[in-house]
Amino acid sequence: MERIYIDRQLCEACKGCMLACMAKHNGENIDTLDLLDTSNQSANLIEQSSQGEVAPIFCRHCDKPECVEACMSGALTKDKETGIVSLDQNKCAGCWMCVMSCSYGMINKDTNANVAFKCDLCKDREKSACIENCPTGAIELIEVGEGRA
Amino acid sequence: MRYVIVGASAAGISAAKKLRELDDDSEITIISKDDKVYSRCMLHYLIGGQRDVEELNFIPKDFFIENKINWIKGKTVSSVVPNQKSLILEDGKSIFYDKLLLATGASSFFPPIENLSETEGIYGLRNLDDALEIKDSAKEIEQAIVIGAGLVGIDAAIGLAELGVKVSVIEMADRILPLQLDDKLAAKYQAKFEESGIEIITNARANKVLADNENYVRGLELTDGQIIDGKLIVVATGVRPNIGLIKGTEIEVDQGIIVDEYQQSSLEDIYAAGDVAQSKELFTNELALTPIWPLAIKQGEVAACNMVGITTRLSDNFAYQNSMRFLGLSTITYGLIEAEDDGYQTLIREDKDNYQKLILQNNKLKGAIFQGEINGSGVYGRLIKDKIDLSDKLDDIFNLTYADFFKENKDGVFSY
Ligand SMILES: Cc1cc2nc3c(=O)[nH]c(=O)nc-3n(C[C@H](O)[C@H](O)[C@H](O)COP(=O)(O)OP(=O)(O)OC[C@H]3O[C@@H](n4cnc5c(N)ncnc54)[C@H](O)[C@@H]3O)c2cc1C
Ligand code: SF4
Ligand code: SF4
Repeated sequence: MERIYIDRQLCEACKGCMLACMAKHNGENIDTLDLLDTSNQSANLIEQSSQGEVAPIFCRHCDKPECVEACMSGALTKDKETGIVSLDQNKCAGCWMCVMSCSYGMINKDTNANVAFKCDLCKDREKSACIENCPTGAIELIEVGEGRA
Repeated sequence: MRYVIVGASAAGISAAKKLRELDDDSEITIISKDDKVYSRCMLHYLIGGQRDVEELNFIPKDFFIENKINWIKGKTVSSVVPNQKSLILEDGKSIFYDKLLLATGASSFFPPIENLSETEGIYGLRNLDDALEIKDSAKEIEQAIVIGAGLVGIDAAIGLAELGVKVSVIEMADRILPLQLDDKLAAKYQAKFEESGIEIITNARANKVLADNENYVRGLELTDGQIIDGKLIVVATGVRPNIGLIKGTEIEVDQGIIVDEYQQSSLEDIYAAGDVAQSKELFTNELALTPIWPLAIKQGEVAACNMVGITTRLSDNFAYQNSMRFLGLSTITYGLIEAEDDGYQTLIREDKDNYQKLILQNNKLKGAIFQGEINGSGVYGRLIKDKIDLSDKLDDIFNLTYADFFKENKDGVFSY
């Protein structure tokens, strides 16, 4: 399976990855994305520590995903072959057990509905939008074995 | 190897799935009283009409075929006979096992209230049939009563209110959800419930169920003499593990079936997981029931690993966590709700829509509450679970994210 490897030192906090993710979910491209619309949402986050250091945080598509274990509706599943942890918003009941359970804060409430929202590694595209739009190479897709998360 | 699982819900299903993942050849049988697989956590959506039975299913349609699982549905196991390694079904039939998992969950507990068990129109809310019957009888009535304002009671009240029924909720404690919420959070929900026609009566005890001439419920008398009208009562005063089937065996029981960190009971080859099991809980370090969905899943998986012989212990048996969304207001809580004594420090941040409370002891987080904004709260849950020292982060304690703890392996896996 694949996972996004993060090189924290290379990140310049330009948030290109977040914009790309927002645009993708809106079916738009970055140039047409309405930046004033606060309902735009990115699955990945550029977060800041209390010491002011930034870190790009992306869903790990964990080997033992806590979010999937917590999901009582069957909306969250991990694909055996690709390893992708995906969310079916149509099944989601908005109980927030997944939000409660992800130690990294990588699954959250959808800004537009009472359902969860998370990264799907752009499985419908050739390359993840975030990676495509990172100018520094701080994020890249790596092939990983069945490690332990 | 013959694996037999009793129970086709969170714990039983997750165990069966894991068993098949680890062992492609052996025979796996699930026996359940339930004749459908459904998520109990969504039963109130069935009552309220937002979901149908099909939409309560939490597994793929072809789950049993795909995983080559023999499912004996709609059958109750009457007893376990450990020295013969067999189970006896209600129809007298025997089933033999090499390894057994008891994942029988729990049942609604009905407290000793006068006339409660004799009167018609009284329900628990635990099984699909409960929800279907509640929904059905709610069609003909205008007022209903819920005894108990815990998570299940509130679910029931909301489901009924959704159907246009006027609901009164009776609670013994001084607030709703007393185990999950502090005064402030409870008050916020209480106001919302009252706005939407759900009456909340706290500090109240039910004394006696009042019945009409046809022995049908017509109301409830409280110990202070007050009479609450209602033609249907949902009793939500807790649950009791389903341990009837092991009566007379040597399997050690307290409130539930006592298991070790491998989910094994006191007898070899017999395991238990989910709401029926009593295990060492992480936050309190005590043997406790752990009746939440995520732990039923985890315990089922751990049991499965050990059943196939892969020694696996349950490391994060953390039951002190709750999430809820009622009438559009969301809350997630971890650990303590209130400081227990002066040895704790309580920090609160709030505005009109949001309330956050953190309880610290010796610079470690012991409790965290998020109402309103809940995104990112999982980080705080982990800080409590792992007892992480926060001495150098106290200044920014409300704004912690994983960026504060960032640690990544070569293969991109995060840790704390
Ligand atoms: C209304 C409601 C809302 C809830 N909401 C939440 C929530 O938001 N979050 C959360 O974490 N948890 C919630 N829960 C709790 C959650 O549903 C349970 O923790 C979970 O279902 C436990 O799973 P289990 O597999 O241990 O047992 P159960 O789900 O109780 O399943 C037990 C299984 O065993 C079978 N069985 C029992 N006895 C026998 C027998 N003698 N013979 C054969 N079969 C038998 C039953 O038919 C069933 O298939 C809720 C529960 C209810 C009722
Ligand atoms: S949302 Fe969190 S728990 Fe789920 S796969 Fe991603 S990182 Fe893991
Ligand atoms: S909020 Fe949705 S995806 Fe998350 S655990 Fe609940 S049902 Fe599953």
